[in-house]
Amino acid sequence: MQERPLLEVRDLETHFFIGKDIYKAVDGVTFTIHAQETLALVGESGSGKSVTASSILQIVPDPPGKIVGGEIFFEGENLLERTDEQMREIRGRSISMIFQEPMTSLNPVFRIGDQIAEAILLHQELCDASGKPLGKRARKRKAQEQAIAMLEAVGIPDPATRARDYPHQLSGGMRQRVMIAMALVCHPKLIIADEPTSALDVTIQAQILRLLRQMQDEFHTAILLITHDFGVVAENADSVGVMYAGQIVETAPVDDIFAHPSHPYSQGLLLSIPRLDQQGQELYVIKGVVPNAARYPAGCRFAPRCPICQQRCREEMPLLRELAPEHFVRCHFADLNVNATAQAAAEQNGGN
Amino acid sequence: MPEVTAPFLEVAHLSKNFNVKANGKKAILRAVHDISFTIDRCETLGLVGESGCGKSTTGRLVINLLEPTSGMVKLEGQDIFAAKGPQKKALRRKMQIIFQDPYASLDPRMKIWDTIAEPLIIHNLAKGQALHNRVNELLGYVGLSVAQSDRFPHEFSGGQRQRIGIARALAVDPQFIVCDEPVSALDVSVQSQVLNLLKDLQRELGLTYLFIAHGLNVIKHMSDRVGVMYLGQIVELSPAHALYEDPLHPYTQALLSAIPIPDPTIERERFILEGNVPSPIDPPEGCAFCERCPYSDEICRTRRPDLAELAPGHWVACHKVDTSTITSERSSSAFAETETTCKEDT
Repeated sequence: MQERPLLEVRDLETHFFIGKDIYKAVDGVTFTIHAQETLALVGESGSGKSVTASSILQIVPDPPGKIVGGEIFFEGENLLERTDEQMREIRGRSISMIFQEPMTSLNPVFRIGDQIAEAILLHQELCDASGKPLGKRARKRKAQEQAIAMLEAVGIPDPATRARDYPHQLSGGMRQRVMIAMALVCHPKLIIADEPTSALDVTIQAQILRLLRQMQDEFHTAILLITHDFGVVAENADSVGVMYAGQIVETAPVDDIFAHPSHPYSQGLLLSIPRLDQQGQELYVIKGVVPNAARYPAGCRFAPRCPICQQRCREEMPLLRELAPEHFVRCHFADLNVNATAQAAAEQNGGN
Repeated sequence: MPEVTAPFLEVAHLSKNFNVKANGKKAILRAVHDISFTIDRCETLGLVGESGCGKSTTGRLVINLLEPTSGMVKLEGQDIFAAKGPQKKALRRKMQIIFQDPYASLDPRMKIWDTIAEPLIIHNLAKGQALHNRVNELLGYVGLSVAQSDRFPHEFSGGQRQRIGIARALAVDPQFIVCDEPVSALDVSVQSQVLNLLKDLQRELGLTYLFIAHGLNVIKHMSDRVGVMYLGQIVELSPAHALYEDPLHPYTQALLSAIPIPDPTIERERFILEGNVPSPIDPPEGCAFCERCPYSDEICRTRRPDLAELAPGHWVACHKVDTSTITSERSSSAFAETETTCKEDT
């Protein structure tokens, strides 16, 4: 894994300017994704996961949002220095996105086949057998054919007929398959999947996640998977970044983060999920609430809720430090082999 | 005396059809079809299933928020659909509901103090100082401060709003509460707070819950017994531990297998269902699950299986389950593996 990463995000800052307040939705996010790797960004709502994703594609609504700092290197080039026109070339061709709610992200008044074909017509030089560019009508026909082939690849039965359907005629799972077909049709190097299965039932979720993995194997795509479900993370990601209050607080290979969660927030999140494979005792509760993005505490942002918080935490913001190879954590007192939160929870239960 | 032996809540052959329009023609949507179950006092029955399976409709039927097409619900031996006037109002005091969406189920123009006080006033349970004391007590139950009670719903977070909804449900001192997806709109850290609160309240106040959710992990955490619904029917009903250790219905097996476990060291054989839940308009003739079931054959397509008690308290509606050893082997072996891996890990 020594070669240059596919995507490298460094100290990204995306702020929203609303009234007199500055909401620091993303405030110093750093991570890398290698080719064919799946990185999962986990965190609760409002932690900045989706804004991070939008920032990479520069689709943050401006105003009020603005990328105010940092660098996003994709294949070695800083995307933040690209012009709008160059970014349009990248979106959909090199990096594409799958959104959470397929109904609101597909255009309701166009047939799904045409919507997929549009991406092909925009981004691909379509040539005939001898390499000569095709005429307008032939291009359209070819794009339709490719769209239908792609629908078939994502497991839509009777793709030629379905291509003439409108989004409302499809079920949620089918719509998400169409989104995946659209995202993959130009063979991008990176797919950003923002909560791709959160709106779906579990049996459909299992189908869609299996499809994403199959497509990743077939097209050698890297995936930035945004989710709040640790189960989805465990079964799909190679590495994990845990976000809290606009920052990455812990990042590690997937096995590490589940075996040795080191940031008290990651520990708390993992302890607070009711699990199928464990008997139900009292669930751990992270006390307090997520801080307001316009008024973060001075030191560590998790300090007010942290079971091992000390004076230093309230004064000095911790930096990401390497606890073990490839395992970074943003905490002054984190120790790889100590689950401070589990200890605190045990004491709390013992006291009751 | 029959009252002594009668279960706390008894649901028998309950059905609900909705008249809808499909393709411009009148059609009947069969939301709930002939379901029966009982709940004992202080017990939690979990209802689990995918969207559209009829679990919320069931929740609304059993507290008479919807009129059934046919069937009967008895609370402490009293038929809730036969009750009229003051009797019906008295029944309402016994049964309450906590809704899924804490953003939509609170009146945005009412201060939360008034929201919580309203049921007390309607049922004429307290006034003046007693009303004040009772509302403050309820706020205390759900962990909100008296100072916060002067605010409007939009000033609260999702978790806090769900607490307000719980306080409102508790106001009339009910015995039975339907919890309709109470945590599915909440973040995990907030979810754990609300689940713990519901469990504490049940212990302290002796409540009986019908707990509806689509998350099998949440259901397992909360329930004593679990009913699995598919297309308006209960396909498996069993004590919680038996359902998770030895699921007998193929749909339950698939549902359990579909849930990602937050532990990358667990390797399991996945049993992924193909296709979608069929439409409840014109549902299949025979077994509701037969179109997606890997074991289905002719009898499944033509005759609907009845719930049968295959082990003590463990009811399953499937033609294939007792005859075919494949299903039981698969279920026990696949999940036994998971169990042992977990034990080693923890």
